[in-house]
This record gives sequence, C-alpha cells and structure tokens, in this order.
Amino acid sequence: MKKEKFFDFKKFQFTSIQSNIAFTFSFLFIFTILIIAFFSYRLIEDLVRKNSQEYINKLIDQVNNNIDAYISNMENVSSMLLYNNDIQNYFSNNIDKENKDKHKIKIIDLLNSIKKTREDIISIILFGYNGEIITDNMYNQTNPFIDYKEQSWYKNAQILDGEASLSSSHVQNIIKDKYRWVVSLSRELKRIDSTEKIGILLVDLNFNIINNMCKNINLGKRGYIFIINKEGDFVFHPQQQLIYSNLKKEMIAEVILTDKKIFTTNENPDNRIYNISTSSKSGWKIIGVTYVDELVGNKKAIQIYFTLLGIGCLVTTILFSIFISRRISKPIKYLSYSMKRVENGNFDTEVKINSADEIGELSRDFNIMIKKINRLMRQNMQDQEQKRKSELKALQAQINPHFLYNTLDSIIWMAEAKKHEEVVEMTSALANLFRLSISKGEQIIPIKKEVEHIKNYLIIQKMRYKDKLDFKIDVNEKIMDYKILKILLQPLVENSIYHGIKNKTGMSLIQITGEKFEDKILLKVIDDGVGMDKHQIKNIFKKSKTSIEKSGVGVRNVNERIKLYFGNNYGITYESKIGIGTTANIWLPIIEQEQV
Amino acid sequence: MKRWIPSSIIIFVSLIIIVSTYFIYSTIYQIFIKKEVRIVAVLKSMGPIPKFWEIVKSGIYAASKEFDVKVDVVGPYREEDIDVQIQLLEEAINKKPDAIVLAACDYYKLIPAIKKLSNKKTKLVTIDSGIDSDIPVSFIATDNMEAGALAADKLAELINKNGKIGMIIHDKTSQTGIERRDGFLKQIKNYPNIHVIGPVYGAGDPEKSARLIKEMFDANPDIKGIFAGNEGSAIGAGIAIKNTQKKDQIMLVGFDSDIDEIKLIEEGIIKATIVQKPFNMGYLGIKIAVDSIKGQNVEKKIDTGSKIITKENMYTQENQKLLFPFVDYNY
Repeated sequence: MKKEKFFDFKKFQFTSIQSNIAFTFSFLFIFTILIIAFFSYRLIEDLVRKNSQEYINKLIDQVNNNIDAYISNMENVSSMLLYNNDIQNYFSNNIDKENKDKHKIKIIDLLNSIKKTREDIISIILFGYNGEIITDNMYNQTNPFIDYKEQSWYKNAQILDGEASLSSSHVQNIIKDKYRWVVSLSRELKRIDSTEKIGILLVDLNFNIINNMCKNINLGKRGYIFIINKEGDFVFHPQQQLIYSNLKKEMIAEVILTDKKIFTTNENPDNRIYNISTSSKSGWKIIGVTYVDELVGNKKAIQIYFTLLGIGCLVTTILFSIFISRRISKPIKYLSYSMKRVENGNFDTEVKINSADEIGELSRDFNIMIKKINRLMRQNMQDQEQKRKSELKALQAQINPHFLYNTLDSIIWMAEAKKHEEVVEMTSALANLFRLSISKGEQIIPIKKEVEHIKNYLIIQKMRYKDKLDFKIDVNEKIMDYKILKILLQPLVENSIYHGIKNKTGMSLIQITGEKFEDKILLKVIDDGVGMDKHQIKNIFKKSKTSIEKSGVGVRNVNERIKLYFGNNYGITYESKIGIGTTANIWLPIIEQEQV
Repeated sequence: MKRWIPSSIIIFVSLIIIVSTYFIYSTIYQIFIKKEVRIVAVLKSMGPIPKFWEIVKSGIYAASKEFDVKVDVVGPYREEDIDVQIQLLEEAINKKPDAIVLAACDYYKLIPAIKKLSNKKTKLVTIDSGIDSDIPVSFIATDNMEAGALAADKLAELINKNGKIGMIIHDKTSQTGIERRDGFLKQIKNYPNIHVIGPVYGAGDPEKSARLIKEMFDANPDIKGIFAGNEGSAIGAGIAIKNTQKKDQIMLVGFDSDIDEIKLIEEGIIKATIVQKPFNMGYLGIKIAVDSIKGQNVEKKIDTGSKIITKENMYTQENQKLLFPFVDYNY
C-alpha cells in the first residue's frame, strides 16, 4: 500500500502569479523579520542584563565606599584620641585630684564636640584600666547590671593590642536606659612614653545610618542588600528574623568562600543573583541580591515589544505583498480578459496601456497584432466581395446579349440562305459554348475545357467574320489537364476581334497558345490586328467610368479575377506594336488539382 | 482559476495569525491581565504601643516587598476599639481585595462582617488572634498553649522542680490569657513537687499585678517562683519581687519583651521571658495569603513559635533582633 504523504506540498503550490508573489514576499519578509527580531532580542536581553549587573555592582560598590568612609572616620577619631594629652594624663597614676578633674572636663568637652560634629557617631566612651569611665556626656550613667569587661568589643580590643577592632551591629547597653543599635570600633589605649596599657577606647557608629542607606537602595521590586562581616554574622539584613526562624536562607557560606563578584543561586524557580562587594577596610561583604525572574520581567517587556513589532511588520508585509502582486497581476489579468474578448470575435478590443514595463510592451504588441488581424480580415472580406462581383461580371461577359443577338442573327441569315450545314455548325457551336460556360457552376475548370470553349466561340466568330477572321489554337497537350479559372480567354479574344481585327482590312489571324513557362502557365492570345500604343495598353487596365467599352471592362475583370485568386504574381500583360498586332499574355499558376 | 489557491493562502495566514495571537495573548496576559495582587491587613492596633503591632507591620511590609503584592494596613488606634475594627473590616471587604489578613480584636463580634466574605473570592487569613469561624483559610499565631508550657518547663528548671510557685495572668477571658494559663498548668503537672498558687488576674496592669503578688507573698512567704502571663503582669511581679528582700531567691518567668521587662532581665529580677515572633507573624500572614490566592493548599493553623530569653542569651545576634526590633528606636 502506498504511504500517504503527511503533508502534500503540491497542493500548496501556487499557480497564479498573484498568490505566488504574495506567498514568496510574505515568506521572505517574515523570515527576515524573525531573524532580525531574534537576534536583536538576544542582543537587547544581553545588554539589559549587563547594564543592570553593572548598575548593581556600582551601587553596591558605592554602599561599600560609604561604609568604609564611616569606618575611616571612626578610625580617625580613635587615632586622634589615642595620644591625646588630657587622656594620657588623666589615666596616669601619678596625678593629683585637682588636675584630674580639669583633664576630665577637657576630655568630656572634646568627646562631646567630636560627637556633635559627627552625626554618625553616637557615643565615645573611654574605659580606664583603673576602673574609671569617661563618656561624651557628663550626665550619662553606665548600666550597673552590665559588665563591660565581658563585652566582645572590649575583649577584642585587648587582643588586638592597639589596633582597631570593629564589631558587627549590636545593641549597645553600656549607658543606662539607652539601648541603641551601633557598630562599635574599640581600641586599646597605651601610654606614649611606655608600653603601659591604660584602657579601652570605644567609638560607636549609629547603625541607623547604615540601616537607612541599605533600606533606601532599590534593587528592582524585590531585590535588597545585606551585609555580613568576616565571620559571616549579619551586620545588616532587612529580614534577619526570618533567617533565624528558617523562613529564609542566605548563601552565607558560598558568599564567604567565593572569589567571584557575582553568582547565581540555584533555588528553582526563585533564583537569586548575588552581587558581592568586599570592603578592604572592614572585611565586610556587601551583597546586592536580585531576583532572576525580575530580569525575566524585563524580558517580558522586550518580548511583548518584539511580538507587537513582528505583528506590525507581518500585517504590513501581507498588505504590501498583496498590493505588489495585484499591481503585477492586474494588467496581466486585463490582458488575458482582452484576449478572451478577441477570442470571442470582438476585434475592436484595445488594451489600455498604463505602464511602460514589460506588461505595457506586451499590451502594445497585442494591440498592434489585433489591428493587423482586423485589417487583414477586412481585406479578406473585401476580396471576397470583389471576387463575387467579378465572377458576376464574367458571367455577364459570357452571355453578352450583343454577341448572342449577332450570332442568332447570323444563324437566321444563314438559314434564309439555306446554308444548312453552316447553320448546324454554328448552332451546335453556340450550344457547346453555353454548355461549357455553365460547367456546373464551378469556377475552376481544366484548360482543355476552356480551350474547347474558346474554340466554339472562335468558330462562331469566324463564321460571322468570314473573310476577315481565322484562328489557330495551339495549346500544349501537357498542360491540358491543369486547372484554370473559367472564362479567361473569351474576353481577350473578344477584345482582339473588336479592337484589333474589326478595324483592319483584310484577313486576320488569332492565335491561342498555351505552354508551361518555368513554374507558370502562359496562355497567349495573339492577333495581327491594328495594334496598340503604350498609352492604349495602359488604358486597358484603367478603370474609367466614361469608357463603356465592354471589352475593356472584360479584360480588366479577367486580370482582377486572376490576381484575386492567385495573387499579384499572376495576371495579364500586353505586348503590342502598331500595325503589327497585339499579344495578350495570361500568366497563371500551375494547378493540378482543384484546390482553390 | 482553481479554488484551492486562495484557500491555501487563507490557511497560511490564519496559521500565522493564530500563532502570533497566542504569543500576544500570553505576553499581554503575563504583563497586564495578571494584575497586581491586593491585600488588606486589618490589625488590632495602629498606635505605637504596644510595639508588637509595629513589628507585625514591618513583617507585613517585608513580605509585601518580597512577594511583590500591594498591602494596605489598617486598624483601630487602640485594641479596645472593636467597633472601629468592624467598620474597617467591612470597608476592606467592600474593596474586594484578593485577601484580607486579620488580627481580630474579638473572638465573636467580627463574625457578622466576616460572613459577608463567605461567597466572595477574597481569602481570609487570621493572625495573632483568631475568630470563631471556619472561613479563614489559615490562622497564624503563637501557640500560646505551647508558650505556656515552655514557661512552665523553664520555671520548673529554675526552682529545681520543687516548691511553691505563684501565677499571675492578665485576664481569664482573652484567648492569650486562657491559653497561656492552661498551657502552663497542663505542663506544670508533670512536676509533682511543684505546687501552684493562684492564678490571680491583674488585668495586665503593673500596679495591680504588683499588689496582687505582694499579697501572695504575704500569704505564702515560701514562694520560690512566679509565672506572669503578659508584660504588665511580669513588670508588676518584678516590682513586687524587687520590694522584697529576697529578690535573688524568687524566680520570675514572664511574657513578652517590653523595655521595662528588658531592664528587669538585665537586673536579674526576671529570670526568663517568653517572647513571640511578631515579625514572622506579619510576614507569614502575607505569605500564606499569597499562597492561598495562588490556589495552593495552606495549613489551617501555623505556629510562629516562641522563645525563652534569659539574661545570658538576650544579647546574642538573634535575640537582640527579637528584643530590639527597631534599630531606629532609642530607648
């Protein structure tokens, strides 16, 4: 069994030019649009992603820089205080009470003025190893229930031996009734002149500043920033409580371990992109988190844009290709319609030419052709008409009433003269003449019949012009069966008798010859009558309305008939010399069968 | 001309149209038709005190950002304004949001308003305090029975599972009061050597509570521990203990984390307090509402959990966040 094709392509071949062009155009355009749309979409998507990543990186670096600036500032404050004279003196052992109080007031003033100039610094506290504490405000009391020596910032400062220690964000509870979120920078104080350690300096940064900075940064609708320190503890996270409750996870281990500035988490379908910026100063890592599907959101906007663009192009393409194909096929259709009209016989059809292109050219040629055909048709009709007329004339010439009257007259005379034999001869000749001329209405007859016909005619004429006329027929036997038009010779012979011989005194001879001459048949009617000059020869074929000479009409009619039937290569020519005679040459084609 | 030529073009064109329409439809659907999810949260209190609701709100905002939904937060100024809450709830229902997150001021009085919701598409999620109805798709709150049990275990541990303990609860009508009391009592039965005195009810008022505890001390000088059912009760009990001469011998386990409580913890008067997780409550309220809108199955009851805070652990990274939730608050 023959497998049936799943999709028969042949059915989809377009046989009309219009659909062909429309299809090809649409296909090409759509193909092009798809390719362009695809590549530009990919390009834009890539660009958008790179741009947004770059933007996020810059933003996070900026956050990093700002935080570093705050930390630097705390460091500067601490450095400034480290070797401050008053502090150095206040915490020395060998100082009297009066000076001590002076130093204390100076120190408090200094700390207070530093705090006032720096909004970001929330408190500065000195913890002497001798147990004395100086804060930036005289009225501050320390929290009696908190052992500051156990605080991690205190211990870390001791361990670092004069280097600054930076804490994570925490609640500072050293001052009574104050619980503030801070980032602490702590540092061990030493004597300038010896290695003796005198206490711990604490500078607290208001964590609100970092908190607000991070909260105010928008990374898309859902994105956020978080900060971890070297140990991986959160310094800032907008949803820290959720992480402690395991409602949310951050890839802390990955962030600490990776060297990359950016990585994507694998938590389908809600993948996140981590942009990491590490502070060289604090070792903190600032992480910008964005959701991959927010980039996809962008993607969708681009997708819809391209889809709409594609649709627009598509509609335009289809309209355009329909328009183009119509423009091309319309004149062709019009031409074909015109051809149909011609086919149905309307030869007056003319195609309007609207364009100068190939179709216009075709239409023009078509118009010319139709005009030619039209002219030929008319010609043909005219010729037919002419033929009928000339045949009629030929018949008229044949049954010339004068001739009949004269012949009958002659018969009467001969009968009165009791010339029976001659009467019989003439009458039978006349009878033959008519019988031949009827010839079943055929136009084309064998030469021998025409010869017989003229022979009978000449017999009659000879009997009428007894002393004046003699004839001689010498037609080649080989051509006797060729066909010719009937009643060709009679008008010529008549012409010879009436114009050449009648006006001549004495005996005249009319000769009829016939032979094959090259590819034609040449019949000659030769008389030795008065002859004609050139002017007269010309006049024979001229149509003159004044001339009522029948013979002239007869000759011309014969000539026209020949030309009508056989073309201009054939016809009658005259040769004549005054006083010697005239020869009429009848040129005819060789027709073996009856085919005209 | 043959008929099937134009029909093949029609097939071709209509195929293209179908395909492109599908793409247009899907993208437009994704962007425009899939409109913003709207949720109204009706809370118990919009005032700054107690801070509990401020923290719930921050949890709500965190979730609204994360799940990209629009949340309107409304509520009466004070918890007592039940009529205002009913009014606000009805307004919220009329707005036809995708979901309502409700912290009910009353277990029964909101029911008529809630009933208007039953035929609508709006999902109802209750947080913190529920209502007497099956309509809510989920109830997200601290399991107060569990929290009471937690307090019982801690107090038992503190008094070496032996001796008299007193109980002060804010009231015997509120859900929290009842459940914390019952949870505590149920769990304390596991310690046969512990004898419970009370409970007494102090309306959550520190002064009244202090007075009641003092009376209890006078009647039972050998009391070794106190359980206080909310912050006012705990502060009152703390004051009463401070005024006795044996503040290191009486173990106080309280509830919640008011700033005065925190000071009492630092001071060592309150040995432990049970804290809830209001941030999680707000966050989960929105998350569950969003899940429910999406047609997912959600748990009928979700415990947001509670935690024991002591002087030793109060300044850990995690607990600092619970006790001092707003970095911009300076106590």
